[in-house]
Amino acid sequence: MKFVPKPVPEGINTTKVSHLREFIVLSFGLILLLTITVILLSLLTDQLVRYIPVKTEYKLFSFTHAIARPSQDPGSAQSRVEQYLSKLIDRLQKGRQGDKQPFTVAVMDDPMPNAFALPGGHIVVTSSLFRHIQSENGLAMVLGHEMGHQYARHPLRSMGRGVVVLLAIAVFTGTDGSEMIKSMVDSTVELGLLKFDRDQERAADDTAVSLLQRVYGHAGGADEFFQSIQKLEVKTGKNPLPGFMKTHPTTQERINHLQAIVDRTGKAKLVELPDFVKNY
Amino acid sequence: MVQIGIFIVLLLLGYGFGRWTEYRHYQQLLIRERDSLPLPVTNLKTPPHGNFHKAYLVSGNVVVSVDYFKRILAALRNVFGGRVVSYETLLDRARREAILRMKEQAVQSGADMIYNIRVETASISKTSSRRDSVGAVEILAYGTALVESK
Repeated sequence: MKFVPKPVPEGINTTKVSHLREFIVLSFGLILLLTITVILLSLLTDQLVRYIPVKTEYKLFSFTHAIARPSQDPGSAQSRVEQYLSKLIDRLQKGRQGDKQPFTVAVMDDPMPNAFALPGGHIVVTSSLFRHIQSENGLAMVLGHEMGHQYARHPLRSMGRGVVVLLAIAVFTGTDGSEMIKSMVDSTVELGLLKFDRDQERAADDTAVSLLQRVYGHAGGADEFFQSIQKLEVKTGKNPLPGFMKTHPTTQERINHLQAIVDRTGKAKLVELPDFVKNY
Repeated sequence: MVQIGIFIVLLLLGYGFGRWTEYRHYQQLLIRERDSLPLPVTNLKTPPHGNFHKAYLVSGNVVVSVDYFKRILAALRNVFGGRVVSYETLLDRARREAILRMKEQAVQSGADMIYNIRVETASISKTSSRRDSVGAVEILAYGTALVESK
């Protein structure tokens, strides 16, 4: 047997393609894949939101953002009111059957009487709200209403697709994504996009009324805030509520609904609001 | 933004340098392979018939690592599957270089042929500690060199 020197032909073990072209094709493919995923996720948002565990929601929204920052000074008047509010929330929560959720409450200086719930159990009450409420029951109704939104996860649902997409990004990239979410919440709230529909408002009202009944034994004071708002409406000729509480059921409709409940369950003596809250 | 900038710069650097060195290496490989062609090399297990008076081990090894561009390209391939072309040329070059080094060693020491050549690969990477640590592959070619008695 004779050894015959022969060169091995070129290109047997390598594929002759341009690496740059391959790179461009693959990265566009990946971008396309991600885009499709994001689109699918955002289409399925409403179905997916309810599967986000409460714990995850609280973790994602654990920050207190610019719009809902409780006072850092424990001696201040704001802090005193906030402590009072969170005690009231705790009492209301005791009246709830089923799962309990932790809430944080912040008072915001604003000329509009208002209250709203943000994802992660943050409840914000504006300072002028206290001038439109006479009793603790009335205040409990407002707080209970916001708690009702949170129990039904309305804020998260209202934030909607942004949250699902961000959550997906956070899961895939391994970051906690809280910075992105923080800026998103702030811009959503500023634009007044966090709105609830008619059914959601009514459900929150009903939750609040049932909490009132359990804690005080009657639903008296439930319509207090809305009565006061209606007076303001008559005076100024328009609904003074901005974004969050501007409701689809008109104020009159809600008052009628609530009054019917109050009439049915009977009204007893209302609890006075403490002076430091009334004068805040 | 800065991170994206760094990423693109690394990608371009990796692509530029990678392509340039690959081109030069292939040119060099072709010449050296042609020069070492007359040395018979087989992977037979038994020594061929002949009047040989000396036998010894010859070996050549190469350690290669990937450039940034190739690694990203391979990672993209990981998503879709298929031929990892960016690693193909890399390993092809390394294998040929290792065999060439072995042959050149044999020629230098006056051998007339190499039999029973083997090629082995070992990966050197700190996979346990961090995911994106630099990975490298060692390719070792070894065989038994024979010297004919004249």
